[in-house]
Amino acid sequence: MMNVNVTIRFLALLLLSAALFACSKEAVVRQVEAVEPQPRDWNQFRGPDRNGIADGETFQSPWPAEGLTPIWKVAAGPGFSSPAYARNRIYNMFSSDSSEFLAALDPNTGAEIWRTNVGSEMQEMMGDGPRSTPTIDGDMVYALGSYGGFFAINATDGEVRWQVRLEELFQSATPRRGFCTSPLVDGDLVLFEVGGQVETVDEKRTFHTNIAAFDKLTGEKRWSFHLTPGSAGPSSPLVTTIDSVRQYIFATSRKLISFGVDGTVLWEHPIPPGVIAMPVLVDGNKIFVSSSTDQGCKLVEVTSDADSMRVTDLWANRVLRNHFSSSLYHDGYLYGFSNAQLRCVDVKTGKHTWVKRGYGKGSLIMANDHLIIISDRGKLVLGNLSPEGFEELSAFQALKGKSWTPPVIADGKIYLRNLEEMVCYDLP
Amino acid sequence: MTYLNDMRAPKRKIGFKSDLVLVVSAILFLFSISLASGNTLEEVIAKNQAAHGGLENWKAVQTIKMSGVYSSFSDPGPFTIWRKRDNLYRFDHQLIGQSLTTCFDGEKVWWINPLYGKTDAVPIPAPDDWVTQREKLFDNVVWNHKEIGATAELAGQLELDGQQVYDVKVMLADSTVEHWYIDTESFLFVRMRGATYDFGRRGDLEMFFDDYRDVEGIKMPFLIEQEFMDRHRLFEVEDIAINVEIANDIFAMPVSEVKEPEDKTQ
Repeated sequence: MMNVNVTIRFLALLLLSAALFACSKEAVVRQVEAVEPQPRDWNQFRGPDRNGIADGETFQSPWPAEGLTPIWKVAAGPGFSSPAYARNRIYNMFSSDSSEFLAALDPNTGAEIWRTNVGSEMQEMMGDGPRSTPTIDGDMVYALGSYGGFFAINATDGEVRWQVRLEELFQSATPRRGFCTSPLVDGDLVLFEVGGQVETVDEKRTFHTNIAAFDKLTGEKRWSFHLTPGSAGPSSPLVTTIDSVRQYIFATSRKLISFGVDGTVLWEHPIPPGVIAMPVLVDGNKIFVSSSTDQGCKLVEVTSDADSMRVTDLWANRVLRNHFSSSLYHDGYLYGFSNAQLRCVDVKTGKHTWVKRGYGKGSLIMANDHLIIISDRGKLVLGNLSPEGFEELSAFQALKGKSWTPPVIADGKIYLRNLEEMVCYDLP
Repeated sequence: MTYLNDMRAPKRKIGFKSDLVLVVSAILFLFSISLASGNTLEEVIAKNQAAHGGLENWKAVQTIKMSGVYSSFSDPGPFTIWRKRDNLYRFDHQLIGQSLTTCFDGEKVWWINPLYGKTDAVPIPAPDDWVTQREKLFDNVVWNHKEIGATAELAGQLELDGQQVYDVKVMLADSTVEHWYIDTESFLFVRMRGATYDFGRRGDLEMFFDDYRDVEGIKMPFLIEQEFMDRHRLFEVEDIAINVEIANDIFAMPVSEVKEPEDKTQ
């Protein structure tokens, strides 16, 4: 009888252990799966798909003649970071009292819910404060401070879950304007260009950089790739799947490099120097990459055969020279700022179909089949989306002063910021 | 696997017949441009001068004082430009929160440029001195190209962003090429493509001229945009005064105070 009881207890414990193991495994799997942003979220740099397009947002066009209705305005503090929105919270990076912060705000009032210090303030002649945009993934927010502190922060209460210092891991020197790139989360990875050391021998400087992927739950380094020469670039990576191969595409200071999920280099390709803007995915397997230098921009195509991928230039010219403002792609055409000229470019020919000046070095996004533009001096513009020509449908002065941060649209509101303040407008 | 593409075009052998075809084609092309434009260089320049108020009126202009808002790095600030024949030039403005002066005193170009680490007036170092040497020219290079040792040709008529323009190509004495684009209807200058220097780097320059207004019979642009490399500069002109008194003193390079060595013998 005793043996029967022992056997039953043993079996029960075995079943319980198996059940617990299954649950915990399921929980882990659930945790590391990519957390899809909810409709009408804008959870990272350039939106849910990192393409500058807000799907699912609708609004009246044109806007009222007097402009949009302001909901709130806050003195956010210096910084160029773009806001990010998810789960009814807006997350923003800024600096204050010589430190940089990630803060969570109430999107209805602008009231600050929490703030977390992410390092020292970048003080720089173009403007102080952080450049990188936070990325929200589930209940975590990933934030990169200007001096290379990388943080995984609890989205609910601002508690730091883990952090790494790029200087310690990669001997990364802080770039002249700080670390500007915005982290990419995919699957169980969070990845970005992490920089590297600057070696000086006989007054000759050699720049190194690294691209690294971290476990998004623990901060443990999963893989990294060393690139010499190459200085830490401000461009943010792109994720896509080409011919069933998931890949992360980085525009470094020297070349476009694509990595598989395990860190394998899938392909690389030379690009113009000085790329700041993010690469743009075109029709699934083409990539537009652009620099404001006289070398300009190019469109490349990625194709694959049985065991390799290859890249070819489709065209290269100076028609759309992005500085810090990234272009967007829609239905056969690129829209973006060529330095201080808004242009539309036919991707088949590489030629522009129209040009509009007057917005300085503005930024743009797309929503509701319209272009939404902010001029570099804070004029917010609603424009038609057409390769035939540009028409300014609505415009009003939404901000004052240097406005280099692109607009963000989420859940019926538009968020803007300059070097001092952040404003929220209601979309009609 | 890495694939780097060879972008070079395959070499071709060009024979005598091919050369002849190319030459004839080029002649026909140039002839067609001449026919299409319907104007010679001299005719275009004459109409351009007339559109801007006439050469006689322009030659009567001895000084220009222009002021307004100058934006660089998206930061607006006040600016003033003084010009006086022959080529005396001074440009006071702000850049990244710093006050700058660039000037030609009749002999040399000098500046006060804290962005180069100095707050005293000093001669502008090469190659950046080229910019002020170019900017100082009182008369447009299209009009007086012969006087300054430049050459000009009518390179054709073309469409620029929906606007029909004449392209007047000027080669300066140092071989720098500038393209001056003249609207085919108004005959006003609308755009220029040339070169510049910025922090010792040479790059392409593009200028746009808009918002023409009448200033004592002279048509002058009140909105001027410059683009070079990743830079954007905007002149929003608020006031232009012609033939006002401008003393030569303002062009003279200030002499830095030289401190006498401290006498430590006492």
